[in-house]
Amino acid sequence: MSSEVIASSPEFEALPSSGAATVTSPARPGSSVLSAADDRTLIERAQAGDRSAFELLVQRYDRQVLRLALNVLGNAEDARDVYQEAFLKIYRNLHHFRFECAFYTWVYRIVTNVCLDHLRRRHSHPEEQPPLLRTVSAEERRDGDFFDRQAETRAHSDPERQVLGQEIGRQVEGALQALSPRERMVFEMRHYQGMKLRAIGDALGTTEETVKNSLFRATRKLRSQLEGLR
Amino acid sequence: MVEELNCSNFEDRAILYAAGELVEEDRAAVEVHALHCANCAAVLSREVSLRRVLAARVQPADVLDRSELLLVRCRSELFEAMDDASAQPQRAWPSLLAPWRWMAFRHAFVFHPAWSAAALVLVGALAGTAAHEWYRQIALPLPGKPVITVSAPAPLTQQELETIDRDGIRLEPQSDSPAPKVELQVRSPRPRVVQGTPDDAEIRRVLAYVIGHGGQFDDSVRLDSIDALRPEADDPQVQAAMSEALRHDSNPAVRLRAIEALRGVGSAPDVQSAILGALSDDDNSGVRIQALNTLLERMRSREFSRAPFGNRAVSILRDRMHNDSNSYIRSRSADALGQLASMDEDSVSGEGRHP
Repeated sequence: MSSEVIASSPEFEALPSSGAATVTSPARPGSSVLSAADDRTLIERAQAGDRSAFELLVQRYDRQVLRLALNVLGNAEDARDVYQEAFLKIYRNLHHFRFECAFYTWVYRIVTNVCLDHLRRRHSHPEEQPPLLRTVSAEERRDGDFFDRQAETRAHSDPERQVLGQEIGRQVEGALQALSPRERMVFEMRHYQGMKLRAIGDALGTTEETVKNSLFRATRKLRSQLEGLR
Repeated sequence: MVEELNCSNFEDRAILYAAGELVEEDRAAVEVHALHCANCAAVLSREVSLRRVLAARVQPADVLDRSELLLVRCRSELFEAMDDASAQPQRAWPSLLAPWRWMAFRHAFVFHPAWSAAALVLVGALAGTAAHEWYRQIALPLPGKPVITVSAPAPLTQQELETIDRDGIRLEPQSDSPAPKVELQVRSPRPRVVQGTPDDAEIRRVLAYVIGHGGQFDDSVRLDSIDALRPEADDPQVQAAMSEALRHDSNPAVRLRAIEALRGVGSAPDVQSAILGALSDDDNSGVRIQALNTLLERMRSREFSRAPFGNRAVSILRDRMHNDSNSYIRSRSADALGQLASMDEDSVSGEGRHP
């Protein structure tokens, strides 16, 4: 499955665009032929030892993998660790992949496991977390409901709005960090990676119903955290 | 949707509405309900507002890697790590030395000094073992017993085959041929290196031995050996090795690769028996599916010979049709039984035409 197919697959909605330039790698011999190949062909060639085929597979999936790791872990070093660990696992275990599920599901299964390990370690060592977010001032709290204030600020385009927007961003980050690792992962994959609940369930090795319940819990926690700003 | 929409379950439905998880009909139902219920309308508005706030969040990925330099760096580091892994046959040791491996333990070392001490003891023990292995390898070319390279291999004895260790065989792809070059380090009685391609009978014998001896060689070597022998699958020795792997290899990926390699070969009873055995007994549904598909292909191309098995094929297919946990296998087993029945009818009518 090519990256274009993923983006238009029913498992994924339109993925958030980073707006960044596309990264291309130096062409290898034969890569122009390979680059048009579907996932199955690339996987079979990579399983037979074709290094170029594996690199093309990496390049089809690694942008989304790195985005997931950066969004969930919030710092470049941890995201780099997750990227390396996950793709080396994929490289070493590719010969175990037997096409019983979509390749992206298998990739996400490995990546989410590595991410969850990092998040759980962080939860068990909170002193290792990135610096806590600043709480809002009393002055910022005075003007009523948080969501109403957000709606109001959308009408303006002044520095005050920018500062407030940054502050809202920090509050959202703080609320997301309060979720459990699994809730955080579900929320990230649903809202920011555009994955459908069924695809998230496949990646996490659980049912769509369980994922739905995680989404409900995560949403209620986020609402509670953000409504506390009243 | 099974559950009818009402005020008590509206909140969950509103969350799914805001998340874009409802089909058009359910979205309309939510909107209609909100039109007639002020409380639920407020709930829906709250969820949509929350969604809007979360969507306005600047994602860390856009801040931390806007220019995608981190992505380029990650790729470069990954491909270097893959080079390292490919360059050294003893992959387990270098991977332990890789920094990202140790990053995973850094919390344990920092917060549990006792673990650090235990790790030091373990590292010492491992280093001792590795040093012993290293010394053994460099000590192989003993004075008076130089390593020789044999390109046209002399037959290896059974004892020599049994003493090849897991790092003593290497398969390298060749740019000018689809067949890989096989290099074999034979340690006893006289150290030598044997090189060749699978069209050498002796190399085929070695690879067949590798495939049939799962405990002696790594998974990747067995998989590579199967791939290397695929073009030689008409060789009865190769078929026997593939059948052996299909019956007994512990790794389902190897069993699957073996059955794939056996797809195009003739109707040797041992091969058919191994395929039927895989369909009947393999605990991996992927292997069973491949076995069943291979059987069906053979039946359609009239390569399947029922005679050597009596009713075994029928009873296995009936059992799979009723008892397999995989619905695809149950359904396809019924197809295969129909195929067998039509083969029997053809056989009877053929006999009638040619008394």
